[in-house]
Amino acid sequence: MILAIAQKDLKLLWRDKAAMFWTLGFPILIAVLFGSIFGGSSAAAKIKIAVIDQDQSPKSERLVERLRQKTDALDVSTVTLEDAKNQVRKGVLVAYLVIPSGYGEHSNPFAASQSKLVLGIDPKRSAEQGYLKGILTEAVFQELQEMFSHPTQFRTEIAQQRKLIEADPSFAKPEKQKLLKFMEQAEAFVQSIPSTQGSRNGGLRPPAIEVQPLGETASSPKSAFEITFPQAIIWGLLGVVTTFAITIVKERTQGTLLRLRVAPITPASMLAGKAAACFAACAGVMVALLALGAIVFHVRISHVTLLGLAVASSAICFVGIMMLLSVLGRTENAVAGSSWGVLVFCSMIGGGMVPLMAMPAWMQQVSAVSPVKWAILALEGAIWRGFSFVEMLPPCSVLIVLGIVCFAVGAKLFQARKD
Amino acid sequence: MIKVSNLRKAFGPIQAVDEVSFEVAKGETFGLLGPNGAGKTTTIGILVGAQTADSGTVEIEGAGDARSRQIRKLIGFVPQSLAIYDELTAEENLKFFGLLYGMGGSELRDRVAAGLDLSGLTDRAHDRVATFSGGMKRRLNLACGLVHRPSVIFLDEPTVGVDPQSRNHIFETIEQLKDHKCTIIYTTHYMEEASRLCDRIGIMDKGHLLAVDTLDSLVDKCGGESTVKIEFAKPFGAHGELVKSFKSRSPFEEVAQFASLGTELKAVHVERADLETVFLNLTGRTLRD
Ligand SMILES: Nc1ncnc2c1ncn2[C@@H]1O[C@H](COP(=O)(O)OP(=O)(O)OP(=O)(O)O)[C@@H](O)[C@H]1O
Ligand SMILES: [Mg+2]
Repeated sequence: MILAIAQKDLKLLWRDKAAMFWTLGFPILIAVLFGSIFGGSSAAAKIKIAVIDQDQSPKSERLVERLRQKTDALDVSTVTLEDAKNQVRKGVLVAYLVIPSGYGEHSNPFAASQSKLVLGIDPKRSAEQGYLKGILTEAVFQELQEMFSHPTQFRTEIAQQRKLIEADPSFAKPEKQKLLKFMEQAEAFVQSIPSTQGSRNGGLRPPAIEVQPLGETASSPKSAFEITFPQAIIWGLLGVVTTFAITIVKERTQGTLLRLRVAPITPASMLAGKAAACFAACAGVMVALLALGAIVFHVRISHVTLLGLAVASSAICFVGIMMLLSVLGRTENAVAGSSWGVLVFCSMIGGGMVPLMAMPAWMQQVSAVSPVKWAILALEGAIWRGFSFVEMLPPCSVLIVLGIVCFAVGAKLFQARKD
Repeated sequence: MIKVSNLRKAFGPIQAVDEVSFEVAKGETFGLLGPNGAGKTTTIGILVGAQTADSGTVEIEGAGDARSRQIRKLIGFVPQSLAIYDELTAEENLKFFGLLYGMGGSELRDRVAAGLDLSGLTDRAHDRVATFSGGMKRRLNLACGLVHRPSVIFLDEPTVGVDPQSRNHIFETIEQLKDHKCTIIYTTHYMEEASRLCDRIGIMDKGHLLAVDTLDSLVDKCGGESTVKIEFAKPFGAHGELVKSFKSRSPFEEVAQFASLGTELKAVHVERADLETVFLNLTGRTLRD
């Protein structure tokens, strides 16, 4: 019986072309349009790093200059070490590179001790780490290009990094390709050096890259699409919620509620049918948008299970909101108007329009009252924020509790209302 | 069997149903006749469980009122205002309401087909209701209330806005339901419908049930005198009349008297009082003012 009602409501949604536009077409437009305006994946291909030159030698300056010239791969800034650490932790920078004093001397291939570079990065970001190591090695090798050397070490290094990068699924395609191409070139370069001409002194020793692990850094979105797709999902949910809230009043205005009341079903199972249909529609819209985002726009879906949790709890929340909104008015127009108003407001303060990331601090606090914020947080948590299960719990439980409370209140008001 | 006792329902200051009591026997067709606003729809709404009465009791098939799920399954309800889904097809509407009553499989398929036949929409089965004419919607509205083979049927003005042909079709359907021993409560403000279909008629006005009886008894009790018109073959009586008109409680006896006087009668018209007069006598108003 519940199934029959749910099926019927989904059929009605499917047939309502305008509703379908607002639940799927419009959100896709938003995601793609704003994703492209705000840079899409081209901005993401650049890795933001800070370079701290403690050596200040001509050699170290040349290395910094080389890194700066890699404009298609890197976005290099110079800040103090403290700032750099902070920014890496906040996720503003992917990594920082320290060129310790003495680098200039040690990097002489004939020097007794090996020179050293320090790369500060979250060890979880193994892909970026491999990429950066590759770029650094390339830069250093360019410096040593004229010298004859033993290339085997470099070759193994490249092979290793290549494996690392190829194996990493979270690495976006354009970057991967760019890097692999670079690897190829580097390999070709190494091959051009005759290995027999190795120096008698033990050959060239490139500087060691020491990784300074920085735990618990904030992740950052890889592309604007990772921001715009969660937002688009919110728009899709708003469309579903408004449509279903309207179908509930419509049952009343077109008289079919009368038949439902007289039929041998309980009011609870009638509402359960509605809720089930709304839940399915919410989840369906989210899955469809996420699939599109993942397949076409390289939105990372790092934790499928956590994303499932985010989708389910957002759907529960919005089903509850739908129930509450459906009793806000007596006519379809009244409910449509008030729903849209309430929802757009929630979306506005909750990060459905201006991304949460881009909000000033006070606004981020205010946004906590909006269910939209928690839904976006949960979705982003499973997309790019790299939340653990425990980190997912707060937004998801807020969503579920809010959904249940709204549904209970809405259902109560619905049943209390006599024609 | 339906037993209604002392039903009352008010909407603010309006007493829509006021101390209404009646009984309907199993297999009987009971008509509620009354003008707009008489309280017919409200009464039916209470009987089918869509509304709650302020006071009074309803007993259906001796097993309680429509709050019971068992009773609800027996009830078929055709609301006065259309209650079908515009964006579903005729077939989908019938199927959905069948599903609500726990039907399924081949039984449901047969009943949906029967419903389409009943509403004369078999060849429009896959069209959306939104594309139907008013009369077609009305017929589907009727079929949707009957899809689950109910045995106690409430029809609230099912013929409003239907063309004469469809109306006849609906009458035939109702007559078939009567043949199947369904208990039917039928509201209307057309006395012809009440006369044709109903075994007993209740006359309602302003929330009150004024009289309940068979058509004949109502006319006998509340209809007043019949109108009699006699045409004579030759001028008759002191004034040499050819035609005589008068009102009488016992028209045939009076006509027989004239005949026994030995005058030759050319034609005799006896017009019995009808429901219209019954209503007029009961309320002092005609049915449609
Ligand atoms: N939901 C309601 N709210 C307020 N008043 C109502 C409501 N429903 C019915 N009434 C009032 O109750 C009275 C009886 O209405 P009802 O619909 O039962 O009449 P009816 O006999 O079915 O009339 P009609 O032939 O026009 O259908 C009317 O005065 C009407 O205004
Ligand atoms: Mg009515």
